[in-house]
Amino acid sequence: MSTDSATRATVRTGTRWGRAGALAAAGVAATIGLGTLMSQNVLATQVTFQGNPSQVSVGGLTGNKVGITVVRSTRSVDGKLTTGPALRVGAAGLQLDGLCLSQKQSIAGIDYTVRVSAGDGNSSTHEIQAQDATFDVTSIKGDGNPGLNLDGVVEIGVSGDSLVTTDTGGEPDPNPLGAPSGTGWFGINSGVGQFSNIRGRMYGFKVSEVAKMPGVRISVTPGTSDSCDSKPIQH
Amino acid sequence: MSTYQPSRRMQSLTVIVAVLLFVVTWLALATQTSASAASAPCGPGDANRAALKTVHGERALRPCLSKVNLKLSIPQDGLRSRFNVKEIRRAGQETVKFADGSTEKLWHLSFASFKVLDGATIRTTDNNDAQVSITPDKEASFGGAADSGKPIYTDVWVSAATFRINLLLIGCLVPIDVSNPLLALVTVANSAIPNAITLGGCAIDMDIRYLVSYSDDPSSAGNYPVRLPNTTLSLS
Repeated sequence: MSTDSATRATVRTGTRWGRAGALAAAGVAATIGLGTLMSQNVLATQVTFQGNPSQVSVGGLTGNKVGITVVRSTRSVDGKLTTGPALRVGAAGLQLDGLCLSQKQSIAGIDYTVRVSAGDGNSSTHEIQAQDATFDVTSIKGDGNPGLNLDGVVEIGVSGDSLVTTDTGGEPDPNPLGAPSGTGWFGINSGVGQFSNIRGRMYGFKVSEVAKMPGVRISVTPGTSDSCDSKPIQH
Repeated sequence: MSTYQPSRRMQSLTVIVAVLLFVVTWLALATQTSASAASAPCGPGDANRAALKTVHGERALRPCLSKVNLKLSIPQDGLRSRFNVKEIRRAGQETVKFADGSTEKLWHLSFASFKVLDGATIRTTDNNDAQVSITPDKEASFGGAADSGKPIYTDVWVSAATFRINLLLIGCLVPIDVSNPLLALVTVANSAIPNAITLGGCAIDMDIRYLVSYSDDPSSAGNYPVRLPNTTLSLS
């Protein structure tokens, strides 16, 4: 065998169709999967937190252009996707005093608590700032006074799909909270909302833009005792 | 060792199929997004919005109404006052349009402040899928006064309402229906008094279709026409 023919035999040229095919198949499968989830509103483009029921606590929340309505929310229950009613709270702009989110996860039959917290420890500042935020809850409690306060023009009884929160170029975005259309879907619209010492049960959290979020901490702890419910409210 | 080399035609075909797949996926997602964004909340051209005016200042309102009933109930507990209402006015009955184009005759009431002292249940009765509850542990207020001292008025459109108000000789003994001429008398009395009186009440049942509270000077300091201290908002 000559040197040239030996080199041709060891150096492979051209496309590796077997490998490329495997990668392409995985890519196409992922694209189809993501497309399907997006089409079912399971996965929105900006979802940061969604799935199993989670605990949330916030020291204080001030939102401008606040909307509250009932929606059909897709969630994961025991690993299966299901749809159920949820109370969706949305705001064009959001300022938070501290944040704690926790969720129970089971890996190989062992329970873990994943907890995300943020804040500067100062109850007089609203240090976390975000735009276009929505969260799905089944209950939310505002302790103390103010508790849950609404300001500006407050409308109660409007349809969920007519709520006005975010806008594009000065024009209100249609149905920003993704409420079902038609009558029978109760909504509250308010220029400003101020909630204090919030604790709630949450199914999803979406935010388009987080401008500031200091003091982020993430912990994964065996068991279920490290949830936000068991901790003092974060500031 | 042999290496599979596809023909130029096969390579071209692969590229064309990939481009077609991308275009079809993009079109499918784009069509879905525009379809969900295109639907108007209140019928074609938003024609089903209600046309309402507030009692004070005749502020024009064009809400798209859900037709969901929000029931505010405070049961009687002896002759104890369980709510206060200031400057209550009955503007009359008005035909109000809902998001689906249907209409209903509703009573239009207005007040400068409505303060629940205790015992209130505020809950939707006919929302689709689940009911919304607003549960204050004790107090809640609608309306009130801004920082400037100006009243923040609240208007409600109700399909039915019954009050037990501490009024004249009847006290809380007799329920007054929203249609009762006695309520019109209270309205006249309120209008005639410069600093309108605050009435105490023992019980109330109100089926609210729409409530609007309007502060002309919203501020982060908080004029807050709706105040719900120690309150749970829940779905059940």
